[in-house]
Amino acid sequence: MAISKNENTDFIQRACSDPDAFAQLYLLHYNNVFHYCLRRLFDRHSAEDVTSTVFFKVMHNLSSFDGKVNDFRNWLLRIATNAVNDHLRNSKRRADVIQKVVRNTRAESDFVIPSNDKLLEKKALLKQAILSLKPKYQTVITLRFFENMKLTEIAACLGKNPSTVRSWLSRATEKLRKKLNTATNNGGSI
Amino acid sequence: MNDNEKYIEEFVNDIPFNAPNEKHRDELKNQLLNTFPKHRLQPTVHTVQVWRTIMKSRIPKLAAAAVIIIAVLAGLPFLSRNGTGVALADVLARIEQARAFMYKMEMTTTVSMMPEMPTRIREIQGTTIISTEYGMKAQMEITDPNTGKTTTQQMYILPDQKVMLTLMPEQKKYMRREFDDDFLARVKREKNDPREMLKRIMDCNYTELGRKEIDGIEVEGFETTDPKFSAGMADNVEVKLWVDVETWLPVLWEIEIKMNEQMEIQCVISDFQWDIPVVASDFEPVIPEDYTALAADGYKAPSLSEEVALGRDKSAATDHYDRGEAHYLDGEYDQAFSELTKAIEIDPRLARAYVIRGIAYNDKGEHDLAIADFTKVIEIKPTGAHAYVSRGMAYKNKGEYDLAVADYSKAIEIDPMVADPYRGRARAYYYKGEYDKAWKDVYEAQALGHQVDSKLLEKLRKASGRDE
Repeated sequence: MAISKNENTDFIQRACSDPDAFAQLYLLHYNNVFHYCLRRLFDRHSAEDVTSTVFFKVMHNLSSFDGKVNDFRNWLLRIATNAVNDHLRNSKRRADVIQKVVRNTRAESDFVIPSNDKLLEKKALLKQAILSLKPKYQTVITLRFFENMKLTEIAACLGKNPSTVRSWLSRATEKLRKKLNTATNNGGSI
Repeated sequence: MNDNEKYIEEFVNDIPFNAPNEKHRDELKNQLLNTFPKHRLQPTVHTVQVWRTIMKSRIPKLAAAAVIIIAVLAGLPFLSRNGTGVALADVLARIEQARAFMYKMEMTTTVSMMPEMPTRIREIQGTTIISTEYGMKAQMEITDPNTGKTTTQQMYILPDQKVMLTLMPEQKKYMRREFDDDFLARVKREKNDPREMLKRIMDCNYTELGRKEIDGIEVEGFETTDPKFSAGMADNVEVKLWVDVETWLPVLWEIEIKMNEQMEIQCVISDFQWDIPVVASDFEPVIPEDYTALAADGYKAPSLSEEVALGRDKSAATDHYDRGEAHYLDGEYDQAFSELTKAIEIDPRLARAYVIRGIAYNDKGEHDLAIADFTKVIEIKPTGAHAYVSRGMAYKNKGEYDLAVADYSKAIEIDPMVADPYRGRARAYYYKGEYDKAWKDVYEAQALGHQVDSKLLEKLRKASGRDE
């Protein structure tokens, strides 16, 4: 849906004190946040849990947002990034996620999205490989390749120097490629 | 894009992901609204910024000020550039002879911003008086049909004083908005002022609807669906004007405007009274003593030229910034300094240009220049942690460890969940010889899931004698 910048700015201002405006703002951004969380966590239910966390944080902290409309997406993604990383921080939970992801890949995807076996296998490899990276590398991979953000946009979103992000991205892509290659050659095992 | 990036981009292409679940979305929305902080609920607009935002938004513009927009339209004729429109030209001539006229208007605005949200409807009834000598005065009642709640507004546009005044009796508030000549010209143009509208309407196509009778008056109709009529603001326009065939004065306007998929306006303007007597005092607003000014009272609208110039400048600054950043990332420092400096000259508040230039200065060992740039960023965005981290780094590189610690500490105070300032402060403490504090910051950074430079750890182990 096309919402002009002014209208979006208006939502943000009003959403601090007007529940209807907040609801509109929420609906406007729900899909983006959910997609981001899903592509970080590869699990619908975890993504929904973290999406919920993100929007509660947004609701309680919206009045502190003083940027412009272009900054809002970055602000939102930064909160989502922190929430996802919090979710993954516990190593046991992280291991559980990986196992659960592998276990559920086929059933989950078959249920929702008509696809072919080759794509599902590819997706399973990608999940394992990405989730085995450090959270910061997962973050830049997701922002770069799924959110299609430029390096400078990722830097703004994460509040990092572009050179730092460039370094992370370089390392992350190198590691991810190695893992994907290894998994492809070893029948799915990283 | 390097080989690794290309490989991954191709790999992730076409990977399927689940679609969002509407049930979860709706349940979460309800949970959020049930816990929406009650203390934040506010009855009305309180700040200049909000007022400015409201004025920029299409919704209130059309729900409230649209009374003016379309109301003034009521006094407008179509005007043809050729002989076939002579009748309408005559209508214009007749209207211009009226020094003042009055009419009633009923308007419904329908706003549906999101498919899942209830449609917002506002019914507006109003009476407007327009005087060529004194300005405009409108009395409006705005009703929400869902709740039955009605609010009233009185609005004055006083060209001589260059003031727009709105009184809100229920809230006992008033707001005065000043404007300059540029703004007034724009208001006239946007609000379909007859004199300004002529040029635009000259380009409109219209059809004749023939004759019929309205309330015992024989009228002739004219219709236009030409999008030029709304100056591109609306997707669809349908405007009908019915004119008394004896007096050649408007009797009825029927207007339907579909702004976009979310917003529609229907309006009927009728009950015209022409050449009514008015005196100056009719257009001298009286603000009751118990009314208070909204915070935005006295807000001066920027001139059109200022707005345009500002927008153009910001765009140029951004272009220089983008080029400067690209040069920096490619290691082309001289070009980067040149472009970033141009960006700053155009837009001295473009914080990110100072950030990149400061980092570039730091890379080149120009610590004082780097510190100056990061200080500027802090002035522009004092609540941002990153500039303190950057300046802390520059102080540390310069050997000013106390100042570095102070900046890193400030960054941690602003955002304690970011690891960079802990790592930077750990290094600064190491150089100060305060190893316990350095270790503590190392732990904090690691607790946040971040690695600490192995060389620093090695130095710290040796210096502190601790095998951590």
